Amino acid sequence: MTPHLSAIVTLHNEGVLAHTALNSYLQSRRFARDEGFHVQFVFVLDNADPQTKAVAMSHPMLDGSETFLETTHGDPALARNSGVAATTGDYICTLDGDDLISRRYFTCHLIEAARLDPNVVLHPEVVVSFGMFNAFNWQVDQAGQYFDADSLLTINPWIIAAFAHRSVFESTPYRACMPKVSGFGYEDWHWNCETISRGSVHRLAWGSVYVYRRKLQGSLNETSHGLRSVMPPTRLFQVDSLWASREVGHVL
Amino acid sequence: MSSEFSRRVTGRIARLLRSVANRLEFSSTPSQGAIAPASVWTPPAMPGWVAEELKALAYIEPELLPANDSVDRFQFYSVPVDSAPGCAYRTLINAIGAASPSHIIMVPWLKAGGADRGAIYHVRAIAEANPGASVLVIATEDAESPWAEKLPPGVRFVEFGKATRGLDFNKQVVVAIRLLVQLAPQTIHVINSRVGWECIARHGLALSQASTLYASLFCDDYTSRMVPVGYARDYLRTTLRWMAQVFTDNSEAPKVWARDLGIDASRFTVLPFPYDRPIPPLSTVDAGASPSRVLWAGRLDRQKRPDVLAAIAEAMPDCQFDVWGDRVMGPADPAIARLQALPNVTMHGAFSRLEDVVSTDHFAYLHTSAWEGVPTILFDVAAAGLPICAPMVGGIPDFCDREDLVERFDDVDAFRSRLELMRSSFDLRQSLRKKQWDRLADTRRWAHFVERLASIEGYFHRASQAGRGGA
Repeated sequence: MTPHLSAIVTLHNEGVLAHTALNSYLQSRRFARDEGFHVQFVFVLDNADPQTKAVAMSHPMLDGSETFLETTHGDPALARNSGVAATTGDYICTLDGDDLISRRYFTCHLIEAARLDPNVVLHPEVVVSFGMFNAFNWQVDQAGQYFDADSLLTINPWIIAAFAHRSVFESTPYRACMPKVSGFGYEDWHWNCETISRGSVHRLAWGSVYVYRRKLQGSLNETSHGLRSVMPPTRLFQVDSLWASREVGHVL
Repeated sequence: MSSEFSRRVTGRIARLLRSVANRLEFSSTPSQGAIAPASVWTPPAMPGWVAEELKALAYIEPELLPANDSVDRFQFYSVPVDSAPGCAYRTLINAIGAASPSHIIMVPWLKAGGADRGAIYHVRAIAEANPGASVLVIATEDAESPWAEKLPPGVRFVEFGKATRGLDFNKQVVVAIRLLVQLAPQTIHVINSRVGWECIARHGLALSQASTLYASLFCDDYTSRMVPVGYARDYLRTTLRWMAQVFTDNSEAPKVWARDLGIDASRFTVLPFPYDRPIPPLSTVDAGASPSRVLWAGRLDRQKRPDVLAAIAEAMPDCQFDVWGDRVMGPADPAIARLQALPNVTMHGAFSRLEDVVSTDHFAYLHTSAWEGVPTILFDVAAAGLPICAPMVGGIPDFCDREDLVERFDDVDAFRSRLELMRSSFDLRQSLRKKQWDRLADTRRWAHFVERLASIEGYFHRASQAGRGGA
């Protein structure tokens, strides 16, 4: 049976924190199954350290349907792309290896996707950050009144967790940034811009929560920021793009 | 009274929150890391359904709700929204148009000045040597650029400083970086643009992926306490690793930066600026004539030491001084006031080209200055056949023999003696005229400048990198 959804979880050096992440993700799978949805997991172990690998592969809630993929990219964008290639679901979502999600996270996304255009990208409605700082926010609906297209130049409005039909991920792969080598970073921001430039609209999966672990150090975004990386060129900001050519105040 | 107090307290808290939020906006990760500008409205509480989810997840993650079951510690925040940089960027990218530039030259502005002349020389040289080049000049300061009209036809000129008016410096740099990343020219050349220098300092590694980076430096400036300052001192140490070449117009400045900053002097290319007009044959002068006037022409600012000029004029009351140039210092400045009060000084005001103000009544061109690269006006003076009296500062010895210069820029007696000698000796004047003209013809020809630039690999064209970059 073709999965309704393939969840790609990228793991690197999360260590024991991967255990709680998988507790949460696999719990959400159970809730989805209870409502009739088939969720496939693809765990991408990209240069994963031995502890992370052991924690993930021996998790007690695994049922044998999961795919484990070991890669040596050393880059989250390429790791996710490898994950996409290993998925078989109609829809794909991306998750980091040390966060948590609400119980009906997958279900909310699948229900919302079913009633929207297949080119849509979904993000969780609410993000709760914990750890280094504790806060919550609503993410912005690109089709809603709070979305400001011009601010895409200076800020990434959405977190890394994205959900879309597999055709979106296949037509717009993540771009490898390798911040230390290239000076470029923020591959998720870049992906968001690229998908918008290709006509995707970023909406919200109402009723879903992403619980984002804010570590003191070690996150990729912090690496990008610490290295003063800059987002690679994107077609969204080219002169002939819909974004660049629209009139002031016009929505995308 | 209590409502006034309450209003004040509320306003104060709101201002404080806004100030914290503004600081966080660019110091935090762009993805979700920042707190939006606060306002006086009450932040929304966490919805009950989200709190319920957290309580359910607390069984999985012990750090989520430690110690108690409360979600109160989770404060509302929103991602900061700022349209202005994006809006400015769109204005600029649409003004630039669809054709990708091969070369981007970043300048503060294009107006009367030596560095501005130099920037235009670079653009002309690129356009001449590589007719297929597409050159974009970006003026990063919010200022007029009357010399933009001197750019060769087909060169695009964009007033970045005006388009980003109202943005703080950080946001201007963000916009500039995005332009450079998106346009991905083969060559980026920064000439006295602080925004340009800052782009390379922050993102030189990324910019160097598609573009070869160059900069031009001339000399240090000095504070009122004569502490050397300027782009070289602000940026060289952090940016040199990304630079293919740093050009200077004189041989002295690299020695200073090597000595003071430990910069490898071999990373500099000394690129003498050319004389930008045909060099006329040296005119003959009447040996029997007795010219009695001194010409001073330049910008009346602190660097050019109008106080030294005034002291020299004061020391030579029998000699008339024609002083031409824009006044940067106000009339109340003591040096300007002193010049205006001297009976043997005529303050003429602004001038366009030296040829317009030089006459056969002048026996010398007096150049006063505390620091310099190689002042290009000396080329005009040499072409006009007027002997130069100048101090031995900066790159002036690149153009004038050391024995013909005054050793210290503030040695009024030495200037007076030198001028007296020049006034009294026709042979000395002739000798100086000949030496200056020969130096101009030998070292400042346009073709030399273009040839020198052509020898810099990749400056005019970077064939192996063509097509790289871009989205």
